[in-house]
Amino acid sequence: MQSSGIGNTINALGLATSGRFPFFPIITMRGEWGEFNPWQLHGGQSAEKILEASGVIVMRANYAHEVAEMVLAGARLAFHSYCPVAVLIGQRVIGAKVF
Amino acid sequence: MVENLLPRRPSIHRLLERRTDKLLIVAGLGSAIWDAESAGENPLNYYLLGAMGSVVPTALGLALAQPERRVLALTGDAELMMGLYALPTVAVRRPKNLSIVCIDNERFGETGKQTAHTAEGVDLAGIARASGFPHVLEVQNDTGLDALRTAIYTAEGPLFAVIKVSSDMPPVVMPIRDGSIGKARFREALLGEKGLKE
Repeated sequence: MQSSGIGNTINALGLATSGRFPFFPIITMRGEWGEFNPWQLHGGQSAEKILEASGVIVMRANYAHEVAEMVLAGARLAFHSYCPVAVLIGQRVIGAKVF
Repeated sequence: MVENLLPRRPSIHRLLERRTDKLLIVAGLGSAIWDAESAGENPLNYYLLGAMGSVVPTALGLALAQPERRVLALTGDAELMMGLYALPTVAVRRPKNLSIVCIDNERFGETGKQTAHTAEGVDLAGIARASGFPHVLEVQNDTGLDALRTAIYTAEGPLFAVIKVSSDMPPVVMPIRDGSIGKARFREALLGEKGLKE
């Protein structure tokens, strides 16, 4: 999913925290590295804080070479330890959108 | 609106009569849980006492993961409205073993019975039809309840049903409230001990 969708998930995250379900979103970030659309800043800049405030463990990959091990470690953490873990893929990795 | 509303709790009890272990139930948010629990405590019920709007998405995941079982999402009109996006998603994924039953009292029951969208004419069955559900039922009497009970076990779903019910609030029958204990019980009943060790 993309960071702009995080705000919509807040209440539903209670299923993962209250039920101790594994929850493992991989989130591509907008609204940070070289963003051109000012409307993306709201979701992008608040995503990490919202997730942490909602009890989700946040991991972040800012460089392409970090992504694979971050996803593997995050998935193991979520599914073996029954907790919500989000891996954020920084906009620096996917590149700033231009159009 | 419908003239002759069904009595809420007796109708849900009728729907759940002669339940078998083939059926897994996901219910929420409040009143739908009390209805299900009062019909008979069962570890194969999973209750969402929060995360409003998540009953159908949870039931969808369960139905896809357990294709040999039948899955019933038992919810209210307001809970369903909060996660309405889930209906088109269910229609697209088309799980044959999933039934969604909406107990529609046209109220936000837990917060003081304020009128909800369906009281103003929002047609949930119409939304399900337009989304592409192959089976949509609007239940208005006991014959309809009996047909729905059969369909929950046999229909090539997904199935969506609305039961228009009275807005009375039957007594609360509180189940285990802790979501992780409920999950553990459910997994053990469904998968055996390995369900607790995975």
